[in-house]
Amino acid sequence: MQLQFTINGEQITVDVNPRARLLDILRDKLGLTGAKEGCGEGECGACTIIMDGLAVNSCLIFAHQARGKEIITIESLEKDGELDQLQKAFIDSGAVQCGYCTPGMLMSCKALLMRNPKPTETEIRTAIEGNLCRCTGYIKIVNAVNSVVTNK
Amino acid sequence: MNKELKYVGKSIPIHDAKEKVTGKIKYVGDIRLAGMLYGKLLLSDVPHGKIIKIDTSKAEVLPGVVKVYTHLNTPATLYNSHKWTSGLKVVKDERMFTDHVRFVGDRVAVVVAKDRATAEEAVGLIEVEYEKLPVLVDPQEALKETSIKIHGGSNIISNREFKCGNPEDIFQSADFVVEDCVQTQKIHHAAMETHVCLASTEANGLITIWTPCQVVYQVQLITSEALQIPLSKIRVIKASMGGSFGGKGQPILEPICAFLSKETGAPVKLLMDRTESIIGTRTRNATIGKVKTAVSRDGEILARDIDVLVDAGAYFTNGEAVTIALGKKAFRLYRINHQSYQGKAVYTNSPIGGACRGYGSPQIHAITEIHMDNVARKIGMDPVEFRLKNLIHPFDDDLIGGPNLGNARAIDCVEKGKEAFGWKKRFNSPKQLGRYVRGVGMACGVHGNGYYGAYQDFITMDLRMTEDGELFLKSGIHDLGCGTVTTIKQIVAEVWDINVDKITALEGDTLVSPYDSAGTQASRVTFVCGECARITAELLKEKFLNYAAEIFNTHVENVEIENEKIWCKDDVNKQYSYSKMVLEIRKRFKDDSSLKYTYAAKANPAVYTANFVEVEVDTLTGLTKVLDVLAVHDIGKAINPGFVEGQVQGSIQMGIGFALTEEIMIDQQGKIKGDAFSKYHIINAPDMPPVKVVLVEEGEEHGPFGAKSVGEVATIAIAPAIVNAINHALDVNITSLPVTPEKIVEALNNK
Amino acid sequence: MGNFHIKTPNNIEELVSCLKEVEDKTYLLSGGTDLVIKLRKNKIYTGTMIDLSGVKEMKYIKVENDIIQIGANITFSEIIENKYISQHCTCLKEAAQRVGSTQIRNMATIGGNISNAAPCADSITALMALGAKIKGINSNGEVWVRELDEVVLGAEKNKLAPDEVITEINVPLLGGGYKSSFGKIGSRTAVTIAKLNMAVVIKYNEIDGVIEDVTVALGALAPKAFISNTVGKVLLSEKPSNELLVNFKNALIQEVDIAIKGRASHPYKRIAITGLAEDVYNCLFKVMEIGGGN
Repeated sequence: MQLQFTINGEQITVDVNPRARLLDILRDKLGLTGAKEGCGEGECGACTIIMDGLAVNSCLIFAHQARGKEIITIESLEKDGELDQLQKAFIDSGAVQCGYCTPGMLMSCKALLMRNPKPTETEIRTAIEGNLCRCTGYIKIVNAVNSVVTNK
Repeated sequence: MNKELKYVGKSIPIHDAKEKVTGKIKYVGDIRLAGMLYGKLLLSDVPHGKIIKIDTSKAEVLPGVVKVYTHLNTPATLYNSHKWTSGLKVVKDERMFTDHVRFVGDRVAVVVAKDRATAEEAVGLIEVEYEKLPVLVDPQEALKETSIKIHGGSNIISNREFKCGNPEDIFQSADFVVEDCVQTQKIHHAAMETHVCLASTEANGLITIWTPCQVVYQVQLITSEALQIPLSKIRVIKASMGGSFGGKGQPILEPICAFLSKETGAPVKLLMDRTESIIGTRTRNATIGKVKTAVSRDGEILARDIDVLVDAGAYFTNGEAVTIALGKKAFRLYRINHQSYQGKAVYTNSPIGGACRGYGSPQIHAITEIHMDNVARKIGMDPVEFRLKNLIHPFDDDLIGGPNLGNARAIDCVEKGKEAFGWKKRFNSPKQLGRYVRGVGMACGVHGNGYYGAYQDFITMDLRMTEDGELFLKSGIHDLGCGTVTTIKQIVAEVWDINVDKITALEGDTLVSPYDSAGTQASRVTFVCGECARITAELLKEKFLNYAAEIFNTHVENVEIENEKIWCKDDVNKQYSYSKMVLEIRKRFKDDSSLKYTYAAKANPAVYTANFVEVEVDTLTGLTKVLDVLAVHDIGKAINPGFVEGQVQGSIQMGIGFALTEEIMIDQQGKIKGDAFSKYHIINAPDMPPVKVVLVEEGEEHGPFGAKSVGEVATIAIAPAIVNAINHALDVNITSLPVTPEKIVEALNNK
Repeated sequence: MGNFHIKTPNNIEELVSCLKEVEDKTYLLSGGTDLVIKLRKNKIYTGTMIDLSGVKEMKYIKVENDIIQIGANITFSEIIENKYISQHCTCLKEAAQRVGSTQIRNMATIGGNISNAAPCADSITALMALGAKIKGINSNGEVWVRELDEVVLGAEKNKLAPDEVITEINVPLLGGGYKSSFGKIGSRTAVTIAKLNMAVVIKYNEIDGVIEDVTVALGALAPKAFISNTVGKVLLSEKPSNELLVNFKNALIQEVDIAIKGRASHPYKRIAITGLAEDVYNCLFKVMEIGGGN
């Protein structure tokens, strides 16, 4: 079936298998491999993208559910060669280790800051409660988001 | 060398941070080669049985399916994926696909198809008929001669003893003898990247394997053994690693993936989903540890006896090695002159054991450190003082003949932690009454720095100064996401006084990298590989300076090197950039500014930690909240303090899960309960406490700039510290991990 | 590759015509957070999916005739942010806050949660305590209204006919003096499946200090959430006191004993429920002492 939606600012039409997940389409059809599959059941958040301004698990969404929606993936955070301040903060705070959770983590945090530029630490932790990380213990990730919040 | 350090001791970001935050870095799952096929495994859903019939015809006719492989059309060669180097004696009991399944998760078949969805669908069409066999999941049952035999012979696959002094005699006459039995569970490594591999075969028969692995030479060796082809026909490239923690140490998918590519002639990607990674790869071995300590009235440990039963799961792998590693640690933390250890490992019909961050240390420390608190309680002594009285001292010998402990700063760790945590006050503060009760606990831990004293431990590095004045390092290192590449670069940068960004350090590639004997295992990388990098850099610098002296027409003592410049002290006009000097050396001496060096480890000192925690337990729901963690580390010297902190914080996350929530639960029928993240709970952000890291940096002779290991030791003391805090809060003696709400409520009921 | 078809009705009328063609292998899709997993886990490769998410008439929260009407396509995030629900159905908001993770709450819908009928579904326990009714439609375009209990069969099965769809959840607007609270015990603070959950709705007469009306709903103790009249009776016409809390707890223990005696989880749940009882009780009565508001 034909599916139309906006991806990272560009309106596109793709042919999708009705049973395919949005994650499969992003990765296999559009070559946007930033979003990862870590569990396939919405528990780890590695596949997190932003759909109509909200963080969602792209592994729990059929591709066709994205019709007419506006989708942002990790690939669009860097603008004109300039990293988003969240990306910079992740690097500067040492919030990146193996990096596998990083795209999903960043998208959850981005979605939070889009709606709430001054979140409390509890709100940051709630925003990433569905993003698992085995490397960092989340501490430097929360620090990174906090540093963006306080620099605003 | 008393110069102030410029690059070592600085927290700079991991080398590929930018590719990671932009999502551009390619993990194996992200790579797509032209004509690539996709493999999907069928794992057994029967815990023990013989395959009587396997019908793949329906799967084979599904459009898009290329081929289905089972035990009938794959090599029957037995191998042991734990074998990381030739000559290592191992029991071989594993094959690619089995006709006799021994646990839920054993490999039965694989479908190769043109796309992943088709492969997944086809797997569901394979029909397997089993003759079900009796199931053995209890390791204590496995000890009995009468138990069913999982591999034909005895289920006891290892039986090891270590001993110093005469503990038996001491137990007769001691003031107090305290006994405990501690149980630890199987856990999943839970790297966010599931297991994955890609293999491609060229016309000349060379198979290239891209894999997020820990030891490229091990992958090459096992693939060679399993496929019965020469090493020269296999090239292994370490790919971007989405987390391992030991889980990707043993080659699991690699030989199969290589075989599939060889058979089909096409590139094949083999990917596991989360459930497959949980049940079908490796786990931390479960243990049952009986420990008995004789102690004097004033708190001196007189003798100790430890008896550990290791559940190896359905295949041998490292069942014996971990039983040994675990036992040896028991002799390196406290001064105990009379001590014995007996370790047995057994087969069960359960997921396979393997390397897992700490390699036995989390288990032995859970056993002994929970017990230590119980001993302290019995003799009415503060558990910190009890430990201080008995801890080893710097440069103590290992009483069972292992390497000297080196600059072992265990006492410093405990002393510093005691102060920083405010232990005395918090430990003695009156217990609150009511539903929520708080407690504090602490535990110590010891781990190693490589294989010296046990196995071969050496690495070769090849360093070259390029004509544009940059350094190029070839070696078989593997960055697992911990910052190995950056750490090595910082060490080389310090020697050469060169910007870290001007150093390129390649990771393991069997075709390109000089040989490395052991890969990223055994906490050896910073201590052994880092020291190799330091010496290689020093030797190349020496060569460079000697040539420079001749070029400057002076003695080598008069040649200075700083800030990417080299000059003659006698004549300020004689100043070259590194680049100019490389060209000059080429011209004058027809030589390359490069050097290859093999470094063999010269020591294996111990590394120590002390963890202090406070918990709050809800006595009604049994839920435990970890409020505060302090981790003190005997690090020698932190090459990159930010990475050290990152290792510690991540280790604490893993250790809290080990203490409280994580368990691959296997019921008496061999069925697995925690086989998905919805049922296997690792600690998420709302439950992660603050972690304060304190470093003791007293240096270590054979470590680069004095550095020692941290990545494994950091996860071994936290779980017993938490259990001790719970026992302190509730005045109970829980000794079974994980301490679930159910166990807490039960312990309170029995009080 | 199997044959899968998608139908994407944009309004109720189109939905009704989709329902006319319902077959064995027709799946209703709302947020998708459960259905994606189900199709993959059960290896379902053929069938038809009716995607309800485009039906605009199912996405609203409004108050009419003393009923809070919640469109079935409303997500848990939308429930949490809604002012009527915050004001009048605290327990539903609290339940919604404890569903899954941020990402799940952004997609998962209340209609979907009810249809899935998991024994531990947080929203069902809260809605049951609130006396919610379920409104739906069938393939003839007939609108029906049923008790929540009649819609949920339990153990992940609902009692809807194949051609029926939930379109709206009706929660009676409780009058002055009503308060509610929800509590849950899982194995983690957040993103966890309930081992136990509980919702309590009370009417409290602040002048007399007496509980005039009460409903207690319990989840994860049976194939589906249920209202416990025996526990309710313990609270009814009583004044909050330490003794009442003890009686409340004891009644809950008895309820657990009846529900799951002999099961492995029984010894734990009979104690844990008293913790849950305290949480919910304290929430209800502390809020009152300081004069309401959350």
